[in-house]
Amino acid sequence: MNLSIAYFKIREILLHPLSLVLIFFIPLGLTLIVGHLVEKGQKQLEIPIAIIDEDHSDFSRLLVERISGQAKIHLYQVSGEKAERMLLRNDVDSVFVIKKGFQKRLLTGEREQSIEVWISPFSMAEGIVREVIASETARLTSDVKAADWVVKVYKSLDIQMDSSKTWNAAYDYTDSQWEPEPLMTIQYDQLYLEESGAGKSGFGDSPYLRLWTFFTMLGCFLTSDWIVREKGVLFFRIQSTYHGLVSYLIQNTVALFLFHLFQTLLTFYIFVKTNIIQMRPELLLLMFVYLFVCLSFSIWSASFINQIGSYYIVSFLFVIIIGILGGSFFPVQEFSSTLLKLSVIFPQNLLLSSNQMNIQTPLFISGAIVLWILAIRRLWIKR
Amino acid sequence: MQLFEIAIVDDDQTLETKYVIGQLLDNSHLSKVTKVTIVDHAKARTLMEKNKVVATIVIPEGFSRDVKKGLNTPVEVIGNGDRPLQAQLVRHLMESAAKLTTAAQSGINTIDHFLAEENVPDDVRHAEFKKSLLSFSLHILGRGTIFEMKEKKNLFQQDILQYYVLSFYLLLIMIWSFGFLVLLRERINGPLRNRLNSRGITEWKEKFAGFAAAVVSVSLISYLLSLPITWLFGSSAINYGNLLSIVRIVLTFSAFFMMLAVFVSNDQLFLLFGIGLIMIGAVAGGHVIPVVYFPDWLERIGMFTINSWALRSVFDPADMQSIKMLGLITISCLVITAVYLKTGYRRCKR
Repeated sequence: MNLSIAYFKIREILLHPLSLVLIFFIPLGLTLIVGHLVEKGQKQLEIPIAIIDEDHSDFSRLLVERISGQAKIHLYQVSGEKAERMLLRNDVDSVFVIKKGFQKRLLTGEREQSIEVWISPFSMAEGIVREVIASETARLTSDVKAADWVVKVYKSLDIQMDSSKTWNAAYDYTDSQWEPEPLMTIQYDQLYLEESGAGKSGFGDSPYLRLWTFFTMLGCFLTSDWIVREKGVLFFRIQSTYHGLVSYLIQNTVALFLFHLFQTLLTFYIFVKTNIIQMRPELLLLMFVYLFVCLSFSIWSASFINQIGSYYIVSFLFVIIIGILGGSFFPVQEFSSTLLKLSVIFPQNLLLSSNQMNIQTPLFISGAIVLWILAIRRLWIKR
Repeated sequence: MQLFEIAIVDDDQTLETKYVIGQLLDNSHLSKVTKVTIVDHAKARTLMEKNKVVATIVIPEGFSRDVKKGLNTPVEVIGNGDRPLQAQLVRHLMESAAKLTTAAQSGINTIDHFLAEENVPDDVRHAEFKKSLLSFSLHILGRGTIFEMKEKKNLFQQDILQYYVLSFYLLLIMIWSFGFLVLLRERINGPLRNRLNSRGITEWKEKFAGFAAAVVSVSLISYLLSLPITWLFGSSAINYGNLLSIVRIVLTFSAFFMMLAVFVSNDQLFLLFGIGLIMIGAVAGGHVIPVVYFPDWLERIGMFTINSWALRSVFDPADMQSIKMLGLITISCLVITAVYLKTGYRRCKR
């Protein structure tokens, strides 16, 4: 078999730095750069809240101090007027006002409505912040309640004591149970379905892998533009050559596939070396399948479009829409059951979800082969 | 967000764990979006394998005994890696729930400890224990009563749904401005440009004509799309002030992409840069997550995107800072483009 066309295509790509940039830098370089920023940003996301301390007591100061020590909460301690302005300008998610008499009310067991919460239609996370503040306030109220209880029981049992000393001792004893660590903590683990023993293949939630699915698809579409460029001019001439159009198309696409394959291998190697993913051969296999599907899609799309500008616009919209719905940017499937059901038809699902090795992989491979054949057939007929 | 399920496995099966579960479940934020099932290990595993639950909470054996002794035996929360957002939500709420349980249990332990210190008979201690368990559990369940809620809003303030609708609308304007120029590029090839040049239509004139066409077309499409948005949210979403700001935004985006088109002659690179800038603008500009939740460094990057100023302008049409900034960006892009094209034309003539 004469592979001179494939050889020529490989040489052409190697001699053109832009082609190498499109094949290697877009999927790998951009994934690493954007992935790093996304990961860093995700870790540092904070809920901004404003707090107004109208009580200026020991309890209110303690509460503010404990809240400010919370991860994921950015606290602004401001005056009432400024807090309202910040809320209305959407500079903070919500405002918490520790009302005057807060400590006095907690000590007398009248905690109701001791903290005012200002929310705006924009507030997204006040429910979570309220739980955090409620738990810190509950620490104070439980200390007081336990101390009151001990003094009351001692009195009812006629146990001799100094009420004030016993109260303070009970209060301190209750609070001491939070140190060095609270009585109850949680141990959180993220489990992927493969680890649950079902022999399935979830690969974790890494922004890098998600973004790679997007940039690889984009790279495939951008590097398949030669079909649109050449079909109007070159394809007419190619059919009269010794190789024929079909051989030309197959050899060119195979050459392109080889470059993308090398990019995938390199990505897998770097991901494993940087601990983004674990060394799993089945993941590499699925990355190859995903690449094959993307390339088939791009070639199939290119076979329909005659204008290069239109091809770019279609590619751009297609990649963005499929990227969003397929979960390349964030797990949209969690927002609605319809999207969850719909997600099985998107190729990203091969890598971003579990249980794909069994059913969907052969379907995607078959579909990609059909698209590839349809594209070549269409280009051959349309010549 | 769709309703999601959580499985709880209680390996301890004591009165205390029942109260703990009660405290975990009594969360209005959680109960709006979750359904909780109490199951055994096997069932929990099956539910997890079938991707039916977001998280499994395992209360270990001896949990109540250890808590009474002041020993920490962590409750295991296993998040479903296939549903990371929902699993993280459960994690955050469980962390608060653990604190609430500590608050209740520390009180119960104190009472028991002080009674034991005074050698109070076992039957009295046991009665007090049961009473305190109930009382502290109710105390924790009533934690929501400490808050008094007040909603504050101003005339132009948007709710979160409105925010995302307008944010997506703005992103579409950006994509249209870019897409229009992509389509325009292919219409004028080398030979045609030479013919136009020979008739006195220089590249300078051609580019600015394209820019004018992009502004008119995209403004018109944007206006048409604003009609259903106004119908959906009322005039507070898009009013006449906003429409003016939309024209300003179209001008800015078109001028920016025209400048990019002039600098980047390769179609693929132009598309690549365009997509990259749209993505950076969408993320750092606050289209996905509002800027207010960003860390400082990302907020600073956001300040350099047109998107963040455009968003400010569309939400508050009277904001002078965003008006000035968009104007400045538009004029800068147009001047840079004009200078580049003029000097390029002179270079060609020489």
